[in-house]
Amino acid sequence: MLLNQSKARVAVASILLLPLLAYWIINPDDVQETPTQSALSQGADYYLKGSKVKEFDEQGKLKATLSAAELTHFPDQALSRLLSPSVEMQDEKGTPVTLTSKTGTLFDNEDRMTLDEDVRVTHNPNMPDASLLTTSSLNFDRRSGIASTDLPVKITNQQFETTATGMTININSRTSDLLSDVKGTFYVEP
Amino acid sequence: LPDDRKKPIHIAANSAQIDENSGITTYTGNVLITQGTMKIKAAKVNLYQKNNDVNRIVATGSPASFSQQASANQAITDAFGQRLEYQVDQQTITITGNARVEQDKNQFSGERIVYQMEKSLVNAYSGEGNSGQRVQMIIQPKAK
Repeated sequence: MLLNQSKARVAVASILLLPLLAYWIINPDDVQETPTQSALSQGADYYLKGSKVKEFDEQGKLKATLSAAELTHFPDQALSRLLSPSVEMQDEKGTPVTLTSKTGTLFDNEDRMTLDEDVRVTHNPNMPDASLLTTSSLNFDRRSGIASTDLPVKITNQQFETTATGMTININSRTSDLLSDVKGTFYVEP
Repeated sequence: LPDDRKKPIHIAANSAQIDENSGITTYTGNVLITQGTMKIKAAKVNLYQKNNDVNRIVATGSPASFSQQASANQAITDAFGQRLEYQVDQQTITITGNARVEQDKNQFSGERIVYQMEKSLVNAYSGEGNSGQRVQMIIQPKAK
């Protein structure tokens, strides 16, 4: 008697699951891969969410903090793809400088990274003389503190606005070269 | 014009170098600066900032040039020299190196010329000793 009941239950369960199984077989694409699975299928070996790396100099002083909402490492390409990367550092005078963008790439064994899409370099944030640089892509050498781009840039602060095409910034020595097509406007105190 | 000094300063150049330590930005190549009716053209310009305000502009060229209309009913004043130094607070232009100022067909030249923008006043100075360039003025007679 007991055996018949369990056979009946298995049969009912199969009948219920059959449509789901059929749907899954007919439309495999609808089952979305999670970012992790798609990354892993493209050769990633590890994946970090909400990562933060703090870098110290020989004297043990905090040199820079690199954080990213997501970091996916691809060993074959020897790089990591970053989502919402942010670099916080200081120039030689201890003035804070922050670099952020939507995406970025961190190269293994090199102190080099690229920042892409809505790149923003803020110098001395929250201070009256804070300045903001915006561009669409920036190469950044973390060891030398030199950032560079060939693309249009815009620098703004309370008193002036400057645009140019191509720029090299030495964050440590607080000097920059605007490479071409420079236009500036300085607003005079009333 | 009198309210030129309240207008924004616009700058265009081929390239520039910003040094935040010294507050000096060096513009190079076809440099054009405008502020209201004032215009400076030069090969190279050093722009000095203090607390983010522009307080001095030094233009060099072969020659560098300056022009401005002092007031609505006055002619444009033109100045030329190898070096022009614009002191924003004092509203003066100091011209050296083949310094020459032209004002309504009148001409002034000398070793050094200081032009006071607000009063549209020209002070010309000769060089020291015999070798220095003497002051020369050419004043056109007024048509009767």
